[in-house]
Parts: sequence; C-alpha cells; structure tokens
Amino acid sequence: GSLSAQETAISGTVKDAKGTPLAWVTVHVKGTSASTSTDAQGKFQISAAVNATLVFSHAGFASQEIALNNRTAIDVTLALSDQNLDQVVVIGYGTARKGDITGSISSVSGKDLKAVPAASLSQALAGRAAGVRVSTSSNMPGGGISIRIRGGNSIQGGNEPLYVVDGYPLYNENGPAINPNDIESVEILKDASATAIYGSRGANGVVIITTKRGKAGRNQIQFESYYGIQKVRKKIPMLNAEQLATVINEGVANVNKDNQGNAGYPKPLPFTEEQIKGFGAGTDWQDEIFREAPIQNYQLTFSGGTDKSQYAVSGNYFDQQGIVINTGFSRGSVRLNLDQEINKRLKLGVSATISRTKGTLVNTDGDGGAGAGVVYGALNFSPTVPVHNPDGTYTINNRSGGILISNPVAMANESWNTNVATRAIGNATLEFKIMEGLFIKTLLGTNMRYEKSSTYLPRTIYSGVANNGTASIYNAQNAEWLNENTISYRKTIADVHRINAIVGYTFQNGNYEDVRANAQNFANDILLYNNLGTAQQTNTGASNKNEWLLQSWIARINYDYDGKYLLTLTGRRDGSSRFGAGNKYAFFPSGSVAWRVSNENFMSGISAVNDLKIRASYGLTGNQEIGQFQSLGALGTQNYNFGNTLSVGYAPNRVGNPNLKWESTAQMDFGLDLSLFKNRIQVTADWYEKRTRDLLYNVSLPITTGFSTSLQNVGKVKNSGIELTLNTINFAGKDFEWSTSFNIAWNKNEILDLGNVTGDIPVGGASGHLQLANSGILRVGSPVGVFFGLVTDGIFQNAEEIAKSAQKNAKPGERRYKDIKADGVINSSDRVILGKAQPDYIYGFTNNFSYKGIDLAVFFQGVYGNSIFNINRFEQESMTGVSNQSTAVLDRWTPTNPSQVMPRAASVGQPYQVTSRQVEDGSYLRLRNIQIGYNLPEKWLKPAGLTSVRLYLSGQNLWTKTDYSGYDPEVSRFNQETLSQGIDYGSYPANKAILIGLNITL
Amino acid sequence: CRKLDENPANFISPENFYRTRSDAIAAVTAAYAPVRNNGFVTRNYAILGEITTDNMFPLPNNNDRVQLDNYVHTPTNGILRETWTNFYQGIAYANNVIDRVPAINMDENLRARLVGEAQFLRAFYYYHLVRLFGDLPLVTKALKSLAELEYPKRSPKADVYKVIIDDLKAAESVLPPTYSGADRGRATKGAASAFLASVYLTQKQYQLAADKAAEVMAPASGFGYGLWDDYADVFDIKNEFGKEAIFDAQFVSGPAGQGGNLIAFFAQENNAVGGRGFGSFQPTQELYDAFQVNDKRKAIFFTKGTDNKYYCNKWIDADAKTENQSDNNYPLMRYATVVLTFAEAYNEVHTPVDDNDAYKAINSIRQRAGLPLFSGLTQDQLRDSILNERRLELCFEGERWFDLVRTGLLESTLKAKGTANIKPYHVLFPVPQFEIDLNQNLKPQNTGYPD
Repeated sequence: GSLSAQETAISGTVKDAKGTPLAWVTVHVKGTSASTSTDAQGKFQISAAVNATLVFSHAGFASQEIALNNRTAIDVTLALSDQNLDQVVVIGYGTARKGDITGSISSVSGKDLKAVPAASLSQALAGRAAGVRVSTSSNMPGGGISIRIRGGNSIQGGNEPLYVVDGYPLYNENGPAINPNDIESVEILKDASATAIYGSRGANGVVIITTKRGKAGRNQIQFESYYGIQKVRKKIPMLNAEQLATVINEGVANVNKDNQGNAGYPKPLPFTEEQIKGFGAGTDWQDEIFREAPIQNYQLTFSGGTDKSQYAVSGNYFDQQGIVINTGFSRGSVRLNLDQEINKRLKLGVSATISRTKGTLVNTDGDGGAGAGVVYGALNFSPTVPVHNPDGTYTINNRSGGILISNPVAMANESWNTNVATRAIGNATLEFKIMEGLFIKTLLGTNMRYEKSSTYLPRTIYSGVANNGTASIYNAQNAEWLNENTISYRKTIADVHRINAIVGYTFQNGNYEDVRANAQNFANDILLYNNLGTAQQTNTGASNKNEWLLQSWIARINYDYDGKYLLTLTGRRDGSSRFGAGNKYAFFPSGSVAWRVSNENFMSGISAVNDLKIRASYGLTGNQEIGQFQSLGALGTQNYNFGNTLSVGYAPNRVGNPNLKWESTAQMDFGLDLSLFKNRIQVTADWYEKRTRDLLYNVSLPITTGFSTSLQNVGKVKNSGIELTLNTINFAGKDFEWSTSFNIAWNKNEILDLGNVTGDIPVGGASGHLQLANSGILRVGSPVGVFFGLVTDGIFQNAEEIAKSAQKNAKPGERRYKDIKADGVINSSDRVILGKAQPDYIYGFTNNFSYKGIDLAVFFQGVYGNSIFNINRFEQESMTGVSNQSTAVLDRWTPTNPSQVMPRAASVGQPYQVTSRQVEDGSYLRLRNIQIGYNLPEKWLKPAGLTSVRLYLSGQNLWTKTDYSGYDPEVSRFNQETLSQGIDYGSYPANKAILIGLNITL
Repeated sequence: CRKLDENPANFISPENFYRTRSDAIAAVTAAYAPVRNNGFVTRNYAILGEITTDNMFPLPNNNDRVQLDNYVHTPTNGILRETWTNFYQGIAYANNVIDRVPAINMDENLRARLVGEAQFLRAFYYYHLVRLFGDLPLVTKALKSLAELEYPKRSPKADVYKVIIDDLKAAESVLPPTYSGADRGRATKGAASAFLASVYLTQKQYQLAADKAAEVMAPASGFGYGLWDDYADVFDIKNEFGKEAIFDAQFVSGPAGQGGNLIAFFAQENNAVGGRGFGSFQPTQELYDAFQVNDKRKAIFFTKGTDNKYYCNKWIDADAKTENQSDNNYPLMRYATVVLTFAEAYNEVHTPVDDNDAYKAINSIRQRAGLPLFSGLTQDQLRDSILNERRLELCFEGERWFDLVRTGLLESTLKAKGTANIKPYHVLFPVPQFEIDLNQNLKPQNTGYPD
C-alpha cells in the first residue's frame, strides 16, 4: 500500500430520493480496505485515487458504485433498495439484510398486525406467519393467549416463545404487555440458526418486537381510533323449563321401572303435569349473562426529529367490555422512543413503555359444581328457576332438581374480581464507534410489574353465603434487570468477502415477591376487599419470594462470499440458576449455510427469477422454563393442632434432583426462498425436524414414596413439519391492486421416549367435580396431548343386543361401547386414543384489494385435524335431572324413538368417563377479519393541512365453519398447560364484532 | 459473574432441617396431619366406614360416594385414591421421623416419645390401609434421594400386621399415659394399647384382645379413662380431652384454619349448621328404627330435619356460624369402643355367665343409654347383641364397615339392606388404579375388581 501521488481527499454528500441527507452510509473504495461512513448531514470524506470506484451501501437502500473519473467531490442519491432482499430484518442482537439471512425467520408488519383490532400482540399474530399457532386460552377480555412456534417441544416446561421487545428478552406466558399499535414490525425466529443466540431460552422460538421510532425530518401527529360492538358468536341451544322438567320426570320414571319391587321405589315424580305446563320457557340463562359490549381504542402518536435526534411518543387507551356481564379489560399506555447522536462516535437510544391495565373478571373456566363459574352456571342452572325471588333478591341456588351452583347472574353482577397491573419496560443503549466497522454497545434495561388482584364474594351469592362474605387480595411485584455488552464488527475484504461478527456478555436477573391474604365473615358487604381487618375472621396470610439469574456469553459470525455463499455460526453459553448444582452451564451452538443460486452467472439469463436461495441449518437450543428452585428438595408445612393450639409441622414435599437441567432441542432446517417475475411471486418453504431431549417432566411417583411427583429430565419428543408461505401480487394496475398472502404449516409431534416409564402415563386435566382425573395419556409414538377413553357404539335397542354384548347389566336405551380388547367386558382396557389437541396443519389466507382510495382486506385463518374434549357434554347430556340439558337430548332414546346417538333419560347417572362422545373435531376455518377502508383524496386533505385520513369498517369472526358443538373451537380451559390443551369446560365464549375506525395524520 | 447457586428464601430444604428439638417436633406434627386430612375434614372415615354400610347413604350428587353406597365402585374411585394417598403420605411422614429424628441431638426422653408417636401413627395408617386394601406395599424407610426410588411389591397382610403390632408395642413402651396443655391430643400409651386391642380383635386373637382392652380399662393403669354418665357429655366440646377421648382427629375453630366442617356434611342441606349444611351423609331410616324408643342416645345422635328425615346430630358446634369453623373433634378411638371390644373378645373366650366381665362391659354401655341390662343369653346371642350395641353406640364414627367385614356379616347385612350388587369379594376395596399404573408391581388387583 503506497500512499501514491494519485490519492487525494474525496468528499461529498449522500441523500435519499427525497433529498434527505443519509447518515451512517458506508462509503468504501472498491478494491481496497479503505472505508468510512457519512455523518448526520450525509457528508463523508475519504482518501482515494481519482480513478477509483466508490461503493455506497446502507441498510434499506440499494448499493451504488460510482466511478470517480477524476472528480474529488460527488453527491450521491441512494434509491430505496429492492424491498424484498434489502429489507432490514431485526435478528437477535443486531439486524441483517433479508437477503443475507441463512436461518428461518418470518416477518409480520405492523400494518398487518393492526388489521385485526386486538388487545394483545399475540392475538394479532394468529394466521400471519407460517408455523405460528396462536390459541386463545380464555376469550374473556384480557384473557390468556398461547403461542406455539413449530409445535410444542416440551411436555411440562414452558412452551411459549421468548419475546424480545426492543432488545429486552422476556418470558411471559401471556405475551408481552405491549400495545399492538406501537409495533413497527415483528420477526419470528424459528430455526436453530436464528434462535441459538438466545441459548437456553431459544427452543420455543423467539418473537422479536420492534416498536416505532421517529424519523428525521418528518414531524407527524397521528390519531388512530376505532369503536365497535361485540356479541356472543354463538349460543348453545339448551332446553327450556318445560322440556327440562319433562326429561327429569322421564328419568325418574325410567329408574322406577328398573327398580320395580325394590325397597324405596317407585320414587315420586319431581314435577306434576300441571307444573310442567306452567313452566313455559322459563329462564334463558345465556340471555341473562350475555350482552352486546363495546370495544374501543384511541391512540395519539407524535413522531419526528432532526438529523441528530429522533423521537416517537405515543399515548393509548384501549377498553374492551366483555360479552358476559360485568367483565372487561382496559389499558392505558405511554411509550417513548428516543434516538440521539451525541457525537460522531456516540449514539444513545431509549425505549420505554409504561402501561396500566385493569381487568374486571368473573369466574369462568373453573371446575364445575359449587365453585363453578358464570358460563358453567348459565349452562347448568335450571331454566325452571327465575333470576330473582318474588322479593327481588337473587335465587341463591337451584336445588329444586339441580346441583348446588351459584346463580350465574348473581355471581357475575355481585361478585367483585379485579386485577390491576402496572408495567414498565424499557432500556437505554449507548453505542460507541471505535473505528470504522467496529462498534461497542452497552444496554441497560428493566422490566417491572406490580399487580394486585382482589376478589370479594358477598353473601348475596351462593359461594359467599356460607361465609358471610369472603374477601381475598393478592399483590405481586416482579423486577427484572438486564445488562448487555456487545462488540460488533463489519468488514468487507476485497469486495467479495463480507464479515459481520458480534461477541458479547449479558446478565439478566429477576426478583419476584407476592403476598396474599383473605378474610371472611363480614358484618355487611359494604367494604368489599378494601379492609380485611373489619372481618370477624382474618385467615392466615401467605407470601412468596424467588429470584433467578442468567448470565451468558454470545458470539456470532456471518460470512458472505460474493453474495452467493453465506455462512452463519452462532454460539451461546448460558449459566442459569434454575438448574441442579451439577448442571449450571450449557453451550448452545448452531450453524447454517445458504447458497444464493440466483447470483450465479449461469442464472443471469433467467430473468424470471429475481431471487433463489437455498438454506440449511442445524443447531442446539434450550428451554429453562421450569420455575425456580426446582432442583432442590423441599419441605412443606403440614399443620396440626394439639390442645386446641396450632402446631406448625414440616414434612418433605419434594425430593431433590441435583442433576436437573435444561431441555435441549436439536433442530435441522432446510429452506428455500424464491422470488419470481419482478418479485410478483414470492415463495418461502421450510422443512424442519426438532428433537428435544431431557424433557423436563414431573414424573409421577408411587405415593408409597411419600411424594406424588418429582421433576426429572426424561424422554424425548420430536416435531417435524413443513411450512409454506406464498405472497403474490396478482394484479398491479394504476388504480387497482390485488395481492394475496397465504401460509400453511404442517407439524407432527411425537413422543419418542418417556424414560423409565414403559406404560401409558395418565395426564391432562379434566374435572375434579365430575371425578374425572385425566383427559388423556402420554404414550410413546403418540403426540403430546391426546384424549383417551372408550369408543361409543350406538345405543342398546333391546335385551337381545344386550345379551350379546359386553355390557350384560345394561338396559335398553343405554350407551353401548366398543369392546376393543374383545374380552366380553367393558373396562379401562378398552380405552383408545380418541383424538389429539394439536392440529395437523394451520393456515392463514389474506387478500388485499385496493382501488384508488378504497381498500379491502379479507383474512381467513384456520386449523385442521385437532380434537376438543368438550367436558360440558357430560352434564349437558347426562339427563340425571341435575343440570340443564342441551337440545341434543330431545332426540333421546325412548321405546318409540330408537335413537342411536342419545341414550335414554335416567335419574341415576353412571360414573363419568372419557368417551368419544365428548371428543369432538376442533377444525375450523374462520373469517377472522374483513376490513374495508377509504382514504380521503389528497385534494380534500391539503386545504385542511392533513396528510392522510382513513375511515374503515371492520368485521371480526363474522363467519366460522366448524363442526364443534361448543361455543368456540378456539378454547383451552387449562390455559397454557401443555398436557391439558384443547379442553372446554364452562369456558368464556368467543365474540364477533363490527368496528368502525378513523385514522388521521397531520 | 454472580453465583448461580440458588438460596431459597421461601421454603425449607431437607439439608437444613432435622437438626434441632423444634425440627423434631415439627416433623412429628406433620406426621399427624394425615390423621385429619383423610378426605376434606376427615370425611373419608365416614364415607368408607358408614356410607358403605346399612348405617348411611349419600346425597346423589357425588358419583364416588354413590358408587360405594351401591357397591359398584371401581379402582378409579376418587375416595379410595384419596384415602390411599393420604395414609401413605402419613406413613412417609412417620418414616421420616423414625429415620431422622434419632440422629438429632436433644433431650433423650422427648426424642424417644416423638419417635414413639411416629410409630403409633405409622401403625394407625397401616391398620386402616390393610383392612381396606389387604396385602400392601410395605414401606418402612423414608425416600431421601431419587437414587433410592423403589417400586415395592405387595407384602402379605400378616407382614403388615407384624409391623403394626411391633410399632404399637414400641409406642406403648415409650408414650406417656396423659399429656397436658398444648400437648393434649397426642398419641398416648392408652391409645397404643387400645389400638392393639382392636388389632387383636380384627385378627381374632380374642384372648390377647380381651387382655389388652382390660389393661386400658383397668383403673390401675392410670389412664383415667371412663364413661361419662350423661350421654350429652360424651361429644360436648368442653369435654374434648376428657375421660372418654382416647384418640381423635383434632379440630379447633378460629383463624388458624384448623376448624372442621364435618358437621355440615352430616347436617340437613341448607341448614345453618357450619354456615350451610350439605346433607351429604344421611342416616338410613333402618338405623334410626334400630334404636329402641327409650334409648337416650336417640335424641343425642339424631335430629329431625324440616323434611321429616333424620340427620346425624352426634357432633354439633353451635358457634360454627361459617364454613370450616367447627370445633368438634372426630373420635377415632373412644373409651366406649374399648369397652365394646373387650365385651366381644371376652365373650369369644368365655361361655356367658350372667354378670361376667363381658356382661358388665356391655351393660355399662346399655345402662348409660337407659336400656334394660342383658342377661341369660347364649354365647351367640350375646355376640349378636354386642355387635348390635356396637353399631348403635359407634354409628357415624367410621367403624361399621370394619365391624361387618371382621365378623363376616358384610354381604348378608347389605343384601338385607337391598344392596343388590354386594359380592363376597367386597370385603376388600380395589387398590387405586392410579397407583397400579405407576407401580406395576402392585398387580394383581384384588379379586373381583377389573385389572
């Protein structure tokens, strides 16, 4: 290298097409190692030979080569890049050009997310990205959401993805509490190449959320709003009072007939003919608890800035009333994003959100019986009972021919149950440029939550009457801290070797504390839960504390040879406090390669192909979501009293497991990105296989050990699948445009090994009230989350059929089961797998049309091949006179109605057991959203000083195709419990809604 | 770098427990808890001992109870699982005491007593289990680490009884005859002897049973047991630790959460008892009718509901105005039980002579009840009379099923009651399916029940 006489100082300015100066543009002298970047005014200075060629490159813009031809000053205008390939994608601990990515990453734009007005980001993601399954665990406003990326790896550890909000990683079962309107883009990291940088938290996939930041020179005020009305999507057809009374009488009469001559029989019929006729329709309890409810959202955003500082500030208010009376959720949030260039070497960034949410809840999704919820109550409470007594008080329970359950209207209206949470999440980053291409960055962040839940059950409702009012409060506070320090390096050597590397150290810890108290026996119901001290009985309080810590080293290198051959190597070493003494540290490596076929010379003649890239990756990731202190043995309190004095006792309740460690998932992925006809058709396809070993599982121990379970690393699970995304621009005229996005993903989940256990393991929640211990089993060779029980085989029509059957004691009209074992008796050996909670495939399909100022979006979403265990059916089809019944029992067997579907009425029930009658097809196809919008023409806006005004009308869940008989196929009474997915029991129903929206930009 | 060791702040780990006198006491306290936890508020004693017999029937709102009442119960019955689980939990807690407390440096006498209490409790739990389920997995060591995990087979009943008798004898040798103050309610020497008598009676070792019961009854023993003269005093809360109480499940009202609620299960539905009665366990009319008109116990044991049915009124806490606030203890061994045990055992080994010790014993119970005294009966007649008296005196106390099985009368009695499904094999309950699923070594299932 000689600083020859020809070399001279070259200067200039780089601007974008609109003339805005561009900072941080890399300016590089082709064929040498010399490079620099532009300052905030877009100005640069570099030494080069006067006949050299300068290469200008900048994220989001097409690179440009300019021959100096003896000029020493040049002004350059960079054009926005080929959107597809040069789009900047946020990856873990950095960004990358989409074209350079070797892993499997799906991006969802903020615009798509906003198309479905939703309280949470997680809800808005449904159907938007291949391989991302969103399920609603409760449709109550503010209720839980569950996300599975490429199926569930874990059978007991958390299966939710890691969320990274503006660089802050957080694991939150219900998704991050972030206002969807603030989101610029969401990236979903799916394969090990993409997720291994998150190590022991990467195995379930990573959702990276980037919020909106200010842009230099464009000061904007934006107002966005919508208002809508929601109503229950579907009512379950139930018997009216007259019909129910008839069934009850018939049940008693049938049992009397069975017991002819026995002592105590015949029992008198509960209702006289006159009473039955007098009942009429009675109370429709569903009508009593459902309502039309408003949903509204208002957001004001200020954004903009100068070359050196940019800002975005937003305030949001969201309020959703529930379709069940006395339920609702509201959120107020404020967001502040700031970017400041302190000097040429130093940049500061701040991202912060504070939000407060309030949920007004009612009890739903609980177990049945006396403690059951409002929806269960509406389905089970007798229509023969009115809402109120003649004196105006609530009917407390429906004892006359029913079980003891709360009057659902009283429960919804009179019980108090609120959850108020204040959250703050934010971080500050400082980036220092050591030299060209070499940066050091440090981040300090925090995630805090303060939450209070309060309930009061007054004496006016059944669940409170026995205690003269019961109040309970629960306070929790969670504080997390994060520190990240990274050094990154970018370098291009000899024009063809591009290197992008990062190393770093991160440290994150969390501190959690809670306290709870309850009291009962109040003099009156006035003070609710606000002064527990006034109760005659203040019960023993409880509190809790735990802490976790994760410290990690990360490294990643991307190498690109001439835009054709790409390599990424990633590694993370995690030390986690959650694991056993012998297993504190783990290393998670991954590697991936990609071949950009379209950049090869032999492709140059094929103009139809804009991009063709083939990818392959392999790597290890982990899952550490088991809670704290699980490796340690523990004693729990077991109290007794002697001499009428409480004596606190301690006995072991957990046997220690010092070998406890993370689950590790090895994932292989082969992918293809193809872009055709000027990017009019874009295809991404992936095949993957994930093998998870050392599954964290609370292995059931025989109780003779003194312990019911112990958390162990046992077993293996495999997930394999195919994902396909197809985006097409079907028509792109001057006025009319039509584009389509379609994604579909198949996933197959299979248990490969369950450790020492050879037989089936009974698992899955069911109902204690119905004395159903489990809904299913874990079995090697089957997926996680299968339902297990007897197969129904019609109804016994006569004594001959019974005599030939395996149910010799049956009566005509009773249900018949398949004798699978063919041993002449029906028992637990005849149970088979009746269905699975995980679908065969999931899909989403969007069409966007625009004509001049009018646009239309039609978004379908669906799942196929899953089953739902509908526990409601046990009681709604029992005909024992205990609960109200669904209209399905109108087709019950009688000697004159030889039904093969519905048994006879009988006032004495059989023990409940899982059968194919309760396991239903859960497939659905849903018009999740249809939206028509109108953008006011510019000629009207200009005089008013407005930039844009958009009006829209949107419909949610207006049409659903499903065979599922319950309220909604998107249901999961046990929230995210992996082993208890797809179960419906008194769950809060889904709604459909019509909204109108208005967005104004100044 | 900070250390990744976990230092739990909200629970105690075994490494820092079992070190001091107070740890030893707390470990023994825990071993008592399953005495009371047998089903919510000890209700499983009443379900398995009474609902399954001619004494009581359940409200038809609970399938498990209806199954047991009708003798169609299966290995998946929840009450059986709950009971099995609870008693084995108790055995494990007791094993932890027996294994670990001897190593604690503390007052030797207290230490011996605490270990003795744990042995009593282990025997108490095994005694219930062996009568309910027959051959049992016999676990006498605490599981301290996953490496020691075992899947035991079932041991013959005789081996289980050997452990029970050894434990009770060991307890008898170290436990004090009485406690005072805040120790009242712990297992006493008399409790160990009384259970030994009961065990011998069950094993038909009548001489041993009579001798052991006689020891408990002998004034010289210093136990101070006796019958209250007025029946109203027997279950009066103020007499909780009185002369007739030998071993009770302890309840106390108040905010500590130690109150009972069994009275609500026995009371008429929606009665104000304990906040609200459930009407879950109701006496049969036949039981009520079995009491003679002038039997003083009738008015104490029963109350007539607004529906004109009779409800159990044996325990009542008028101050229990809300749920789980009843102060009543539930008797698991009462002095009257020992007297009846003695009468039965003595009669088996002696031909009746008027006013012999068997007559004296049974007549002490009859006299208190205001009934004419027995005399001039044959041995068989006296046996039947004692059993009948036992049924009446101890009704609702969870003894009936065991008495019927012990005397071979279960099937005939329930046939007479109209329980069509009763079969000879019902003298044992099935081992809970859940446990067999976890430990295949427990196979085969008890005769008659589906495998």
